[in-house]
Amino acid sequence: MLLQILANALALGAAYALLALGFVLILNATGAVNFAHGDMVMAGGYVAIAMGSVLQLPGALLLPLVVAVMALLGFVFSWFAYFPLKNRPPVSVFISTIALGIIFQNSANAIYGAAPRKGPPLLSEGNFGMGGITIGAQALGIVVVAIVLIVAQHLLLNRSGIGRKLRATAQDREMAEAVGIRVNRMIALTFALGSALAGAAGLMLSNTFFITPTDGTNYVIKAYIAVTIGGWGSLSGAVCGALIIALFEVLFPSLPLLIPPLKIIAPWLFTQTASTILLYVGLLAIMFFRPQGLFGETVQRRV
Amino acid sequence: MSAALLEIDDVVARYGQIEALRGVSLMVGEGEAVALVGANGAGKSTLMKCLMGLLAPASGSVRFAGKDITRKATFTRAELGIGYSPEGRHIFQGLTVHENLLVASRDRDGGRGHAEDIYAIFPPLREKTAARGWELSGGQQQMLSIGRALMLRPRLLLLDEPSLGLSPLLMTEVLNRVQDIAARGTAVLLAEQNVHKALSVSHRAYVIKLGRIIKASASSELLADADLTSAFLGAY
Repeated sequence: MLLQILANALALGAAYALLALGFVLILNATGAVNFAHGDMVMAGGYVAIAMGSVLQLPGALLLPLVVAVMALLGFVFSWFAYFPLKNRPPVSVFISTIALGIIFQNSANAIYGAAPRKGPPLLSEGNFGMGGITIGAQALGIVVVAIVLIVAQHLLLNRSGIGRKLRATAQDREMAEAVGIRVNRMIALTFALGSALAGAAGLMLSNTFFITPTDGTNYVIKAYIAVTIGGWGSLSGAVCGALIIALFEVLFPSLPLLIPPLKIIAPWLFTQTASTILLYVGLLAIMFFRPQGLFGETVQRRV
Repeated sequence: MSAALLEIDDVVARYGQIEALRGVSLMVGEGEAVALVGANGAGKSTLMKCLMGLLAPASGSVRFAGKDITRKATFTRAELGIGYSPEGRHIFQGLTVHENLLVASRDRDGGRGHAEDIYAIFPPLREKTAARGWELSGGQQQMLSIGRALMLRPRLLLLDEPSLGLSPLLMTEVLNRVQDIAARGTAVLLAEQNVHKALSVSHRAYVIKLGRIIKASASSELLADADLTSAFLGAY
């Protein structure tokens, strides 16, 4: 029971982490909040459903295709939402991403309708058993895929030439250009990378939680909160923030299942509703007392 | 005088209503070290930004290696061979010293070999290869900023106030390195408030005041006329 709950919490946290990572990458590269980032999760879910119905393949095999399509979508997205407005104040980009997000939502609604749809599972439905312990195959799969993608993203950023250029661009755009980096190309690439990560999260979440055209708003708020908890601009902070959100959403309401006396002491506390309130109270407390976030860097960085 | 590498013709630049450059013309020859001296606010940094494409001139032209680059993108100028160490250094704070160098390289090996040459020019950087930009002292940041510009294998190096915030000893050290760099054939345009040191490491100099070049001559001549120099640079 404990393992299953932990696996579910970890799986949700891992999917949120992919979402939050993409969000921070774009935030760092452009200095602008991409409010359509949640809609990229939604789009990833529908792309997975569309491809799954045509190709009849499990999610794990669809994943590379979905990631590629979403990277392309992210690239195109940047040409409409970011580049025409890049010399305006960040709030212009904020609004253009909201506009494009709404266009995405309504396009999805026009194609698929408002009813929830279920995405393909990564491998199969059902459970993965070992020695009397059963863990959902999907939960386990999400954790594995997320770890692979997060490690790949980390290696790309920190161990490759293109990663150095992406980071230099995020840190000081003018200087990056002055050392010969094609900054616009790097920013478009960041949008592609961030959208690909969001799309991967969408594929995986659409199986467990289904997907509707308006789910993006909820997801982008999760990303926003993860980044605020973890520290604005910090990649590792975003991952930790995402895990903390998932702990509140999954683990906390389940505590009475693990520790039965809790149900008697405070039954009202261990509900989905109360844990959501607690999460946001915690978020406010972090904003008041530790504005740089739990893992925020003390160095003032140019965003 | 050697063949012209950089030719600036009648460049005018404005920040809103304020005219920061009022028709500046100057040239830097191949392999030549040229000082641009003037008081704070005279227009040195503005000119550097115009040369790097970070500020568009209102009129006038900039030619580099025979090409008109007045409207070229900043990264194109870097690719053509202009290295830039800006005022305030602008190190990539989150990148290590080594990464700061590699990121500017266009070499096939990613710059690993060339980085060794930079460490030979600035030995203090060698001990700090894994340190992040924000962990460096002002002097180390300045060396890194110049080293990073050299990673492009530039034909022209633009140095904006390299001595700013450095101790006299470090300043001498850094400017001596600039002299070495010029001696190896890289042309240098050095903007400095520290007139005497700038003149002593350069071949020729331009004095800029209120956005106009008011004097151009051999550095040694200007240096000999120290009183005149301070008069140029004194109160407006």
